[in-house]
Amino acid sequence: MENRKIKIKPRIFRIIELIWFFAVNTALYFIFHNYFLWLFDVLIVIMVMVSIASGYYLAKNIEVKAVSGADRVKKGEEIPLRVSVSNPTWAMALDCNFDMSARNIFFGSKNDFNLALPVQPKDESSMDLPLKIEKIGKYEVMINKVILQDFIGMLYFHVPVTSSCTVTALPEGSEAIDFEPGGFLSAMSESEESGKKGSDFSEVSDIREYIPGDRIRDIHWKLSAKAQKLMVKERVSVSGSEMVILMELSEDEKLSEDVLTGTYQIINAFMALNVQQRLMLWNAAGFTFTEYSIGSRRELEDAYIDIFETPMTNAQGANLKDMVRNLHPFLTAYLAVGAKDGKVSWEMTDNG
Amino acid sequence: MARNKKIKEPELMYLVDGLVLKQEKIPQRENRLLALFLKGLTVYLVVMGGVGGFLSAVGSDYSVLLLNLIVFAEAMYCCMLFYNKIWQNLGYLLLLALMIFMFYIFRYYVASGMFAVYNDFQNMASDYFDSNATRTLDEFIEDRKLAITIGMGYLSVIFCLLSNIQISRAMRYSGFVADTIVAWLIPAYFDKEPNPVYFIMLLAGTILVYARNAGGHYKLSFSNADYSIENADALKKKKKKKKALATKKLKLNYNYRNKIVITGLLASFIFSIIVISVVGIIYPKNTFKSNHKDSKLKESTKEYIENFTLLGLAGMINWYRSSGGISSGELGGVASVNYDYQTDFTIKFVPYTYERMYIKQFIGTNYLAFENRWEMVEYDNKINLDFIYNSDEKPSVDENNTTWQHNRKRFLDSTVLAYKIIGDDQISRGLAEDKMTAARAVMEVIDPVATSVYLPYYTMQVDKMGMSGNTTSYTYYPKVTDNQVYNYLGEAIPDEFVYTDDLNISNYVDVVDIIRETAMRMGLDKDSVNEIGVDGVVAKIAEFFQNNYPYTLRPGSTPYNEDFVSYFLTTNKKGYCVHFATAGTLILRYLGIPARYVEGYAVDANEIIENAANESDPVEDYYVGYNPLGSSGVISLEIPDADGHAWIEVYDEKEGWYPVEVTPSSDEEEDTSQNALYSFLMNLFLMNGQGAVENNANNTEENNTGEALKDFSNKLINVVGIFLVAVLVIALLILLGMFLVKFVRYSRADINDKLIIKYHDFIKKRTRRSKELSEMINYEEQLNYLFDNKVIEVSEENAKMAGRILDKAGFSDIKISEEEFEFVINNIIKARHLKSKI
Repeated sequence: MENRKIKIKPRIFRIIELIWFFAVNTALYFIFHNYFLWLFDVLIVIMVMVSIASGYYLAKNIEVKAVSGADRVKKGEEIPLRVSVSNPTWAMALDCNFDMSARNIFFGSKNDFNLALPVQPKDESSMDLPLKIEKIGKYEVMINKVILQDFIGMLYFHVPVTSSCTVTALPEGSEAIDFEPGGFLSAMSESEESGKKGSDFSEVSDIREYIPGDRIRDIHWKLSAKAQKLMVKERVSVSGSEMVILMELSEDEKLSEDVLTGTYQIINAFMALNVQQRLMLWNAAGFTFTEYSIGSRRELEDAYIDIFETPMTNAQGANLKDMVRNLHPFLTAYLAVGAKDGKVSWEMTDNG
Repeated sequence: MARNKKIKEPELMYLVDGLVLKQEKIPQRENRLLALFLKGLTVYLVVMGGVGGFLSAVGSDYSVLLLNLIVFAEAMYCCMLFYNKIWQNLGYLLLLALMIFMFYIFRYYVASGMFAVYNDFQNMASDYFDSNATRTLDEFIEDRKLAITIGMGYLSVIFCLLSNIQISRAMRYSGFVADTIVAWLIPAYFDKEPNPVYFIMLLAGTILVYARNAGGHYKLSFSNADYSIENADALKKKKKKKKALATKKLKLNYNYRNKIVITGLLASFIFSIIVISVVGIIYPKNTFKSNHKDSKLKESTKEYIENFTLLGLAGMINWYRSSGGISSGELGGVASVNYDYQTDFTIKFVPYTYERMYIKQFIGTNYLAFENRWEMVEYDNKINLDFIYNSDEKPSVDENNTTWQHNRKRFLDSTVLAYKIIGDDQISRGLAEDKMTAARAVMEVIDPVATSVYLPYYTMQVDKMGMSGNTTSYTYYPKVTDNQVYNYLGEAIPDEFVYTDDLNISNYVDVVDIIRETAMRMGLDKDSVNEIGVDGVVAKIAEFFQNNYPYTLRPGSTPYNEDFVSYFLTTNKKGYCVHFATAGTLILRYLGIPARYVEGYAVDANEIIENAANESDPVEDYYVGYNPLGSSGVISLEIPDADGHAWIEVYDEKEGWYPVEVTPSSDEEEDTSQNALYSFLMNLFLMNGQGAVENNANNTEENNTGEALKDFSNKLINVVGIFLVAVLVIALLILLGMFLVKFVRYSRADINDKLIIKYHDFIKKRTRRSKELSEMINYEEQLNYLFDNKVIEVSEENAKMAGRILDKAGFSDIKISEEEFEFVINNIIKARHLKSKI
C-alpha cells in the first residue's frame, strides 16, 4: 500500500441529516427507554465508523487504469477507451468518480469530464467508452484523481491516483486531395534520379523485420531465407536525392489540419512511386526545422506521431521560405505545402 | 401533416474537440428485470420488516410464511410497474381493480383481521396498565391467525405501493422509516419489542436505500440506458437550471449495476446481523431492562395514554362535571356516555343485602322543561362548609339552626326514622332493639374534581360532603326488614310535594300533554294507583319501557330547542337511566304519586362479590344489629364512574322516600344505528355487518383451520377467475378505446391525412421487423427499399409514382385526388406481398 495522501471532504448535508436522525432516535430512546431504540443508536454509530474506515482503506488501496484500444488510428475510426478501477480489498463503494481530462496535444484543446463507476470488493470494474476520432492529432486521456464516497456517503475521499493513455489520429482516411506526384518528379535532385535508375546512394544502417509498406527492394533476401521471415535493410540516405517537402501550418486549426492531411496524402502519393522524401517542419523552440526522412509508411506514421507530440504553435513560423534558404542553402528545390485562400495548396519552390 | 417517424439523432458529446463519445454504442448491459427484482426485494424488506415487526411486538398470531409471501408478491408487483410505460399505466389500473375485488371477496377476513390486531393491541395496553377496561371490536372469523394474515396482507399493499414509489423513483427512506418508527413506537411505549428478524430486515433495507441515495445511482430509465450523460446543455433542456449552472463538466453517470446492488444488500444484511448479534450478546435485552426504568416523561404521560389507548379520544375528555356519567341534573347535552372506569370513591362497609345498593348525591325536585335539567327546590349553591367534617367528629349542629332545618327539609331524607335516641353515639352503645340496625360507611373520595355528598340509604347526615382526598363517614340505617318503620319527624309534607296537574311546569303545556299521552299508552291513568298500587304502577312503567324503549349509552344528544323528555318519549325512544328516571318521575307525578329524580351510584351485588376486598376492621365498628346476610365482614369496594346511575324515589307516608327503578336492563340489544366510525364503516363495506355476524356465527361453531383454509382457497380461485376476467374486460375496453380514437381521428381527417395514416399503419408493421427500414425517414427511400427487397409486388415505376404522391400528401398543401389516393392504396398498401421476412 503506497503512502498516498488522501484528502477528505465531508458531505455536510448528509452528516447533518444523519445527526438529525440520530438525535431524533436518541430523544425517542430517552422517552421510551426501549431496547431497540438504543440498539438503533448503537448501530448508527457503528455504521458510520465502519463506513468511514472502510472507505479510507479502500481509498488507500484502489488502482485505476485508462487504456485505449490502440495507440494509433485513422481519423474517422472508432476506438474504445477503457477506464477501470481495481479493488484488492473487501471494502466497496457505490460511487467512485473519476476526474478525467482529455486533450489534443497538437491542437492544444483540453476538456475535463467525470466518469462514475461502482467499486466492487475484490474485483475490477471497468467502463468502455466508445469514441470516434473526428480530428487528427495526439489525444491524451488522463485520470487526474479519483473521488470515492464511503458506503453510506458521509465523506468524499480524494485519491491522488493517476493514469493516462494516448492515441494518435493520423490523417489517413480523410478526403483525398487532387494531387498528381508525377509532375513534380522532375524537380527532384540528381541523386534521387540516380537512385531511380538503379544506383543506390544509401547506406545500410540496420536490419530489421519487414513491416507492411516497406519497399520490396529493401528486403534482405538471404537473411530472410535464413531467418524464415522477411527482413529488410534500413537505409540512411547519404545524398540529398529525395523529395523535400516543407509543411507550412496556418494559425487556423482547420486549415492546419487540412495542410497536415494534404501533406500526408502527398507523401503517400510519392511513396507509391518509391520516392524517398524528407519532410521539414518548423520548430520554433529550436529555431530550426525538424526533419523526417520518410521512406515507408511506418516512417511516415512515426513522423506524424512525433509532430503531434508538440503543440501546433511550435510549428508555426513566419517567412519559412527565407529560413529554408538560410538553413539549407544547398537545397535546390522543395515542395511547399500550405494553405492559400482557405484551401490546401502546394507548389514547387525554388530555393535559390 | 406529415406523420413520418423521424429518427432522433443523439446529441454529440465531445470529450474534447475531435473526440466524440458515441452514446448509442455505450453498452446496455443491465438486466432490467433483475434490476426491478432487486428494487422489489428492497421494498419487501422494509415493508415486511415494518409490518412483521409491529405484529410481533403487539403479539398478534399470524401465518409468517403466508404473510411473507403475500408481501413479497405485492412488492414484486409494485416494482414491476416500472417495467415499461405501458405496463406502468395499465398496472396501476389493474392493481386498483384487484384491490377492490380482493376487498370485496375477503372483506370479512380483512375487517376481522384488523379488528383482531386492534384487540391484541388493546390487550397489550390493558396488560401494561393493569386495567380491565378495554374497547374491543367484534371479530367475525374464528381463525384469527388467518384473518390477521389476510388483513395485514391487504394493508401492506398500500405500504408497498408508497414505499416503491419512494424507493424506485428517488431512493428515499424518510417515508417508510417514519411510518415504521411510528408504528413501532406504539408497542415500544408498552415495553414491547419486535422480533429481531424483522428488525434486521428493516435495517438492511434501510441501510441499502440510504447508501444508494448517497451514490445517486438508482434511476432506471425506460430506455434501459446503462449510463446517463449530463452536461450543462442537457440539463438546461431538462429544465434543471440550477443543476446546469453547477455542472461545469460533462458527466458520465452509471445508472445501475445489479452486481453492486446485490453486494450492497448482502453487506447491509451481514452488517445488521453481526452488530445486532454482538450487541445482543454483550448487552442483552434483559440486562437493559433491569438497568432501565421508565423515564419521568413517560410516567407523566401514562394516564393520558391509558385513557387514549383503552378508551379512545373520547376517553380523554370528561363528559360530565362531577361523577360517573351523571351530572347533577343536567340532561341531554351529550351524545353518548363514555366512562373512564376510574375509581371515583371507595366505600368501606358491611354488606347487608343482595339487592342493589344506592349512594345518593343529587335530588331533582323540579324539572325545567326546555332548559333540560332538574333542579333542587331552594337549592343553595353555596355549600355550607361548617357541615364538612371528618368521620369521627360528631355533627356540631344546632337543631334550631335554620340552615340545618332547611337542608334537612330540602333532602327530606328517608333516613329519618323513628329511632330511639339512646345517646349521641348509637353505634358504640349498641342498639338493643331487635330488627334495628345501624351501620357506618366510610367513603374515601378519589375523583380529583368531586365535592359532593355520598349518602347511603338511609342517613341523617345529609350535608356531609366528601372532598377529594378526604375520608367521610356516614352513619346510616339500612332497611333490612319490611317491618321497619320510618316515620317522618312529625312534620307535615312540605308544600313542594303537593303536586298539581301541571307538574309544576305550567308554562310548558306540550310537555304535560306528552306525559299524559305516554301514560295512556302505558294503560295508566290517575286511578291506577288506587287499583294496582304504587308498586303496580311502577312495574307497568318499567315493563312499558322495557318493551318499547331500548337502553343505550349512545342515544345522541337532545337537539337544540327541543325538550329533553319530549324528545325522548316521542322521537328518540332510546336512552339510558337519566332518560328513564326523568320520564318515569314525571309520569308518576302526573298519576298523583309523589316522586323525585335522584342521581348517584348504584352498586349491584355481583360487583360486591367480584370486586370487593376484605378488610380486617372489626365488624362492630361498621355494623350493629340484624343482618339478613348473617355474619358478613367489612369490605372495601371501589366505585367507578360506570356505577353512576339515575333512579326515582317515590314517597310513602310510612316508608318515606324509597328508590324504585323503571330503567330497562342493559342486556337488551343496543341500538347501534348512531354509530361510532368503525360501525359505520363496517356497515358500509360489509353491507350487512349484522348478517355477516349471524352467518359467520353459524359457521364458526363448525369451522376449524382446515375449513377456513379450504374456504380461503375456494375464494382465491374465485378471485383469480374474476381477476382474469377483469383483466380481459379491461384489456378489451382499452383496445376498443384505442380503436375508437383511431376511427374518430381517421374519419375527421382530410384525404391527405387519411392516406398518410393508412401508409403509416402499413409501414409501421414492417419497420418493427427491419432495423434498416426503420432508419429510413422519407417515403422514397422506404418504397425503394421495399421494392429492392421484393417485399411487395409493384413495378418500379409505380413505386416511384406512389412515393411522389405520398410526398405530395405529406409535405405539401396540395390536396391529392381520389385517383391518387386509390393508386397508392391499391399499389402499395393492398399490393400482394411477396415472400419476405419483412
